[in-house]
Parts: sequence; C-alpha cells; structure tokens
Amino acid sequence: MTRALSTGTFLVAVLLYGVASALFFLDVARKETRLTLSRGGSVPPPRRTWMAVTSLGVAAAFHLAYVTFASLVVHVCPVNSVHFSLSMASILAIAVYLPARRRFHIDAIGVLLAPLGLVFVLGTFFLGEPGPAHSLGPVFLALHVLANLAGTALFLLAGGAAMLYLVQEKRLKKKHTDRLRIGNLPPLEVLDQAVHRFLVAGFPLLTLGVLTGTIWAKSLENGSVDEVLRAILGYATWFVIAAVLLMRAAAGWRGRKAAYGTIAGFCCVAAVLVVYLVRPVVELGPPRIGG
Amino acid sequence: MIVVVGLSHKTAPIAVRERLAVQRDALPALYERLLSDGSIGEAVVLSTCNRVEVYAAPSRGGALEATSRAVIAALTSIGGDAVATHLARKEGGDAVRHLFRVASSLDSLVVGEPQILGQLKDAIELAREVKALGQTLGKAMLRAVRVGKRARSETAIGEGQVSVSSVAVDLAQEIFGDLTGRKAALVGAGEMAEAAAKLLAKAGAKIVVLNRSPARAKALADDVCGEPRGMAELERTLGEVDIAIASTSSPTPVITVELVKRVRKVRRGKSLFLIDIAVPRDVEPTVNDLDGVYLYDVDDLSQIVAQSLEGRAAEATRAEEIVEEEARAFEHWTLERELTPTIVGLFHRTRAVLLAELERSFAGRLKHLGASEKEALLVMVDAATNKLLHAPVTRLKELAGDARAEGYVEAVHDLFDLSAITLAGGDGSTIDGAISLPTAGTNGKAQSPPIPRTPAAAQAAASTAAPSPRAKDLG
Repeated sequence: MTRALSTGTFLVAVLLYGVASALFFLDVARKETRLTLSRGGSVPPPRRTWMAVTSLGVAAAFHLAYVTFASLVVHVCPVNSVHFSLSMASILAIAVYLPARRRFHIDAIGVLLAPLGLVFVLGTFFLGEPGPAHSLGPVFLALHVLANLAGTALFLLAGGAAMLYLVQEKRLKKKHTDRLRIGNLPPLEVLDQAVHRFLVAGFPLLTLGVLTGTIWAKSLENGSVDEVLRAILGYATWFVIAAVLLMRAAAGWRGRKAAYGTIAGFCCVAAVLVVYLVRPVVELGPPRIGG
Repeated sequence: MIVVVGLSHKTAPIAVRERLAVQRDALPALYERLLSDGSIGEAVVLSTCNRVEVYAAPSRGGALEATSRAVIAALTSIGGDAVATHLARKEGGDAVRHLFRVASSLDSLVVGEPQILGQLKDAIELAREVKALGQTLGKAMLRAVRVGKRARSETAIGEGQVSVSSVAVDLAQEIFGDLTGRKAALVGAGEMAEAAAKLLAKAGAKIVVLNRSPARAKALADDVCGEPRGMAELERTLGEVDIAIASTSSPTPVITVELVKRVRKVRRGKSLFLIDIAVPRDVEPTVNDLDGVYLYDVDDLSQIVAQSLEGRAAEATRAEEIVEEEARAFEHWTLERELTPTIVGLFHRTRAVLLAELERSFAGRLKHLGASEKEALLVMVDAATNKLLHAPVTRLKELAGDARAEGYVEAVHDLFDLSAITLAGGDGSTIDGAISLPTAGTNGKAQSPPIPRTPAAAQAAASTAAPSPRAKDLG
C-alpha cells in the first residue's frame, strides 16, 4: 500500500512538475507586452502564470508526499539521505518561492524551479538506494542537515534569480528589441534585490552548516577523497558567498558582478551535491527506491 | 512640380543623421543659402530627430534637376561628404507622394505617431516667415497637412498611442520596477523628453530639471512638480538619479564616458538608465558598454515602438490609399494649373497675330469700313480664334493628369513660341471686345462664356474653364 502510494505520488509529482515547467516556459516566452503601463493601464498577469504557480505548488506537495512514503518504504529518514535531502532542498526552495514571488514579483524564477523539482524527484526515484545512515543525534539533524537543506534551498533561489538577472541584463544591454518583450521577466533591480535577500537569508544557514560540519567531521568522516572534496567545496561556497556579500556592502558590487558571484557560489553548492550523489551510485549501484 | 532631397531613419543611421541635424536657430541661414541659389524658387526644411529633408520648387523657368543639385550642394556643405551617399531624392509626383506619406506619418519610424504633423506645420510656418514659400510648394504643403489630418481622422493609424516617451518609461520600469520614489533627471528640453518626464512623474518618480536657462528650468520643473537646477550641476545630479533623459540642442555630447565613469564611483553600483532623445546625440554611445549603465537613443526606442505597433499595418494600408488618391488629385490640379498659361498664351498669340493683321488692313485696304463693320470683323476674329483653338485646347484639358500632358504642353510652347508671352502683359497689346474661351463641357461641346479681353482676365477664364475637382480645397 505504502509502495503504491509512493509510486502514485511520484507519478503525479512528475506530471505536475512537467506541466508547471511547460507553463512557466510559455509564460516567460510570451509575446504580450506591458506597453500600457506608463499610460496608466496595466496588463494583468495571464491565467497561464497562475496555473503554472498552482501546478508547481501542488507538484511540490505531491513531491513531499512521495518523499514521505518512499522514506517509509526504505526506512530512511528524509533528511538522513542525500537522495531525499535533494528532494527536500527543492521542496523547501519552492516553499520559499511561493510567498516570495508575490513580494518580489519573481514569478519567472519558476521557469528554473519547476524543472529543478522535476530533476530532483526523478533523481530521488532513479538514483541508488540510500547508504546506511549515520546514527546522528537530533541536535545534529536540526543544526547541520536542516541548516544545509534550507541554505541550499535559498541558494537555489538566489542562483535562479541571478541567472534571470543576467538574461534580462543582456537583453536590455544588447537592445535585442526583436526579442525584448517587455513584461515577461522581473525588473533588473527586483532580481538584484531578490538575489541579495536570498543570499543574506541563506548565508547564516550555510555558516551554521559549515560550522557543524567542521565540528562533527571527525566523528562522521574517514578522510576519503570525496569527503575531502566535499569539505573543500563547502568552504569554497562559504567564501564565495561571503565575498559577494562583503563586496556588495564595501565596494558596491551589484548587478552583473553580484550575479556572477552568486552563480559561482551556486555552482559550488551544486558540486557538493554532485559529490554526494555520485558516491552512492559508484559504491552501491543504482537500484531504485520507493518505486 | 516639386523636389525633395534629404535623409531619414530609412536611409541613414543616427550617426549620419546627426551630422545634418539643423537646429531651429540655424534654419534661417540655411534658407538664405538655399534661396540665394538662382535655381531654387521655394523651399521648406523639415528637420526632426528622424529626418532632415528639404522640399523645394524651382524658380520661374528653372529645372527640377538644377534645383535638386542646389539642394544637395547645400546639404553636403552642412553634413560633409559623409551624408552625400545617404541623401535620397524624389521629384515631381514621387516627391508629392513622399511629402503626403511623411505628413500622414506613414514614413515615420513609428507609424501613426502624432508629432510629425506638428513638426511639418512648424516647418511651413518658418518657411513662410523667411518668405521661402510660394504658390507651388505652398499649395503642396497645405495639401500635405490636410492629407495628414485626413489619414488620422479616417483611419485608426494613430489609435492605441504608443510613443517613444512611453516606451522609455516602460524600459525604466523594466530596470527599476516600481518607479515610486525613484529620481529622474530631465537634461535639456525637447518635446519628447518633456513627455517622458511627465510620464515618469505620473509613475511616481521625482523629477530634477536641468537647463541652461534658469527660467526655462523653473518653468519645466513647475510643469512636472520637479526641482530646477543649472546645467553646471549635471555631474552631481547624475550621481543622485536613477534615470536621465537627455534632450539638449548641444552639437556635442553633454554626457561623456568619462563623466559617467566618475559618476559610477559615487553611485556604488546602482543602475543608471540613460535615455538620449537628442539629435545630435547628447550621450556618447560607448557609455552603454559600462557595467550597470543602460543607454537607449531615439532609434532604439523607436524600433521598440514600431514592433509594438505591427497591428497598425492594416490601417497603414488604408492611409496609403488616401495618400495615393490625394497625390493623384494634386498632380491633376498641378497639371491643370500648368495648362492655364499655355491655353491663355495660345489664345493670346493667335488673337494678337489676327488683330495685328486686321489693324494693318484697317489702316490700309479696309480704311473705308465703318465702326460697325470693324466691330463685326473683330467678332469674326474672336469666333475664328475660338473655333481654331477649340480642338487643341479641349485635347490638352482632357490630358490633364495624363503622363503625356507635360510633353504636349512643352510641344505647344515650342511650336507657338509661347515663352515669349507672359500673362502679365504678353506682347503688351490689349484687346477690346469680347472673347470666348472654349471649355470642355460634359457633352464634349464647346461652351463659350464671354469674358473681358485682358490677359489677366483670360488667365482667370482659363483657370475656371475646367475646374479641378479639388481646386476649391487648394485655395
């Protein structure tokens, strides 16, 4: 029964993520313009945007349900396995995105989050079975894993906003008027602000994750290559994000520079995740879980 | 007939157009130069941010070719050889069509934009002030204004107004989002820049107005509830504002790369959106290469507007039909107008020859005739003249509007040596008695209303003999 629910919720999540991805893509690529704004009018967001956001929210809910059922099937705590942790990070990112999109007007980030959710749910399903869990205490779970998960979720959003910033900035700079469809992407300053706020929110969590990781590394790790690499990339992420925030405050690093810095930090986070993901596949082979 | 020589966004990039941009205060000198050339009789200079065109009519007896060459020489003397290759020339009917298309905003980068008609009226007014406008070009210009109005009233070409200024504001919103509390500077005072500033103010931005004239700065600032400043404060202002609209009449850039580099240090990475609506440009184009600085000139903005108005294509087609109809009517009127002196000259020449012979006979062999017999002979001469010329005159009038008409007119002039006769006196003879000019009636038969015998009266008769369907409009 649990396995059937797991498979059912997985399929619904995949379907809804697919629908959301397509709708967000169409929304960003739409041809309507906002050329009436300055004349006192406004074009309401198309129905497609609302449908895309709803699909993404529901997909994330089914994703969470799938992770819950799948963790019951394999008897692994969702936050105590890299497979589920990836899923949890993307679910958290969507959970942060849904209220934030109204505040920052960053609906367009959904065009990155929806496919990401799809990739992570598929990854969770098709990647190798989780390895034996460390017997970690509740304090460790709360501090290290959840801090890293939430931090990763926020950096996902920051990276997405930074990518959109670069796309929008390039279109405005190059004056690609044939493709300049005003109104489809958030304003530059809004994206810049969003990047900064997600970084500011994620940095303390990342710091906490790095600190707890450093403290517990002795008892948890055995000094293998992937663990060293993961540690180096973790510290690199922290330094890059710290540098971006510091340079913004001290030297007025905004816009393109900040976006590149954010994407560099996001790449480091992604590299850490890749190392996490590659190890069990290499060591244990790829039997599916939860399916 | 008229000629037009010039360049526009269609024939030249802004870098070339700005070389030829003539500010209003320099226009009288250009008119002086144009009219000092013997081949140009009338001229109108239309100088906007998207075009610099000279419409001209030859002086009496002058040729269109010589007029074109004179205009090209005048324009090349301003813009240098670089503009010569971009100059476009149209003559006769093509020039009239072009003028009507310009007035209808069909030739504008933003089809349907409302500014061009006002700019054309201003150009006509200035030409009238400097006495550069006469019969031929004056009529063409008046008709162009009417055509422009007709195109706007009979089609939806101007509906759903999207302007360069509104696009500038939309782009500002693309960069900054909500403009409430943002600061914008209006540098200089162009019509479009003012419109953009008003839209920015409406969107919630605070406006700072910089102008060389403190009085002008204050007046503009009052218009947009802004703050007036002197041009000396440009650098400080650029350090404070998010958006700057440049529209000065300076021949050189007022916002240079060096200036913006200095300003960026103060701005600490904050985005700066520069809108350059001036021609010649006020902002060095390479400013756009700087990080965090976004520069759009009038061509960039206009292209965005043009793309947003693709839906006006159907209305533009309807406006093109209006232009074509009006152009044909104008050509018809012009040809008829050109026929009048020819017809009058024909009558005058024929009667003069016959009357001269009659006078000689009255003084010689017909000396014995009494007054009543002489009068009868004069009436006979009138009737003979009318009958003799009825067929060629009717044929000429039927040809008005036909491509062959000009050739016929020239042939008649050559064959009868009409150039020796002027309407203001011809050979100096005045003729007493009644003379009838045949007109092409609806049945094709001659109608002969009696009119006075002076050349001027004959001209009036010829011009009313077969009125153009639109002659009353051109009055």
